[in-house]
Amino acid sequence: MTKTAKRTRSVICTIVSFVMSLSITLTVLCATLSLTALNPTFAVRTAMRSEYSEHLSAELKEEFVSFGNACNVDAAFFDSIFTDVITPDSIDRDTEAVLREFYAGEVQEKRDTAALEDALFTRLQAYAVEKGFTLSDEVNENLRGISSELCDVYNAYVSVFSMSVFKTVSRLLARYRPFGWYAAAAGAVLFAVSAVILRLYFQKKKNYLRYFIYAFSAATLMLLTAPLIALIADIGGSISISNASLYDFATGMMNGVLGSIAASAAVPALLTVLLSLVRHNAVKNNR
Amino acid sequence: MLFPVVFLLCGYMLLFASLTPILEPLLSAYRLAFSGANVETIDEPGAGSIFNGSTGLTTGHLNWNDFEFPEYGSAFGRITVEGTDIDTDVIYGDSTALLKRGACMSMYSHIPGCGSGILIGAHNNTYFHTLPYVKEGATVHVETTYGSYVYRVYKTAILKNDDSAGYRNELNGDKEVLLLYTCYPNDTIASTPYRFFAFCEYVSGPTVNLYE
Repeated sequence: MTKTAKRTRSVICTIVSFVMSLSITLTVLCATLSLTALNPTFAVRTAMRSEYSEHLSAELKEEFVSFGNACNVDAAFFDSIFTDVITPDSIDRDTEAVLREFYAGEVQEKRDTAALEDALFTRLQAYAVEKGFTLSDEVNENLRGISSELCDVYNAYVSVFSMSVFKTVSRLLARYRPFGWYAAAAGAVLFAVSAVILRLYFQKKKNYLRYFIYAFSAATLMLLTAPLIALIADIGGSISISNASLYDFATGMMNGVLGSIAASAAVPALLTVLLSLVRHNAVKNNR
Repeated sequence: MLFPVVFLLCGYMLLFASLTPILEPLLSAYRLAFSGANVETIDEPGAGSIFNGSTGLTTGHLNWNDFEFPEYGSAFGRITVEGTDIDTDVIYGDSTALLKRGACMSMYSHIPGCGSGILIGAHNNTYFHTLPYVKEGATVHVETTYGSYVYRVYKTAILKNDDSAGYRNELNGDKEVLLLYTCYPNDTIASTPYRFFAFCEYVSGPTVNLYE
């Protein structure tokens, strides 16, 4: 082979190796996103692991106490409500249901709070009797009204993802979620094509493996650099949300996704090491 | 090692180049969404604010630069109502959180001394529980950081919560009227649609001009 031909081959293989690195990055990135940000189980796990339900419980209690103050219900009444009726576990269950519906594009306007309303009504009746009220029809009607309005407050907070802006996102998410895997598959196909081209250009293993190693190590760097910088700069922590529960959830999701992408760099990194070992043997045996 | 780093730089440059057409709106959206103003960095308005006492000024005239205008969430005054147990801080602004701290002055009204309507409310289960027992002719004292004000109750009314016509003239008029309100009645457990209003005419206190 002439010098010019060798140089041309070298340039073409470098470009193909670069395209291969992009395809590896695309495949791993799309697969990671499909398993994290686009996966309802990941979102549910993030909500459970963060302090989302604890913060939401505190926010709900503040609203309930304020509403109660306008209805002549003491703040102390709600201590038992938030110990026995509306617990972090019950909020977690409702949150899980809301998130799964959100990812499926089936957001509901209101959750079924019949059981909560009955529980609130029963306790309000006991509270009214304690305060010296007789449970006449009028009083019972008033207590039903309070229970119903408290359930509306509960719905407004727990079903936050059913707000109109989130409904649009939910529908888009449900429609385009599968495309994450399609993009990963496209990246895999591009990788295969690049690999075949490189393989066809060289006879000796040590030559084409060099370009494979370039591609895999570049992909490792691409997957690692940006997420690491974002994590170190705490981009997730600077998100503009004034609500403590949503803030916790949002930062948990962001940091979780960024961390997963950075961790996914281990896949091409491992392959880089394996290929380096194989090439080392090939160089030793001049193959 | 050189090739992977070159590939990394070329890859990111390619990404940057492909995003160039939508870079401006993307950057604007990023600045908006990640401004750093969040629950961790923003203090609760007026947190820890306590009313430190009045200048004691009972007459005279104040211009806008003669005193410090209250900040949202700050305890800028104290209110007592004759014939009731009301003796509480007056907070500038109203919200669920602020109503826990005292009687709240609506930002849709004016501060004492401005010569127009002043709207102050509190929950009937807490600070304004005894407001419905106020009698016509009772004195209301409002000490603020910039002056001492006295009002007198000239009428009371029970209005529906969406009936702004019942107090709109006093709130937006050119005569200083202090409107105290709370949920009504206070002797039943109900989500009541009614509000008890005490209309109080200005008696004394320094006048304030916010435009000179």
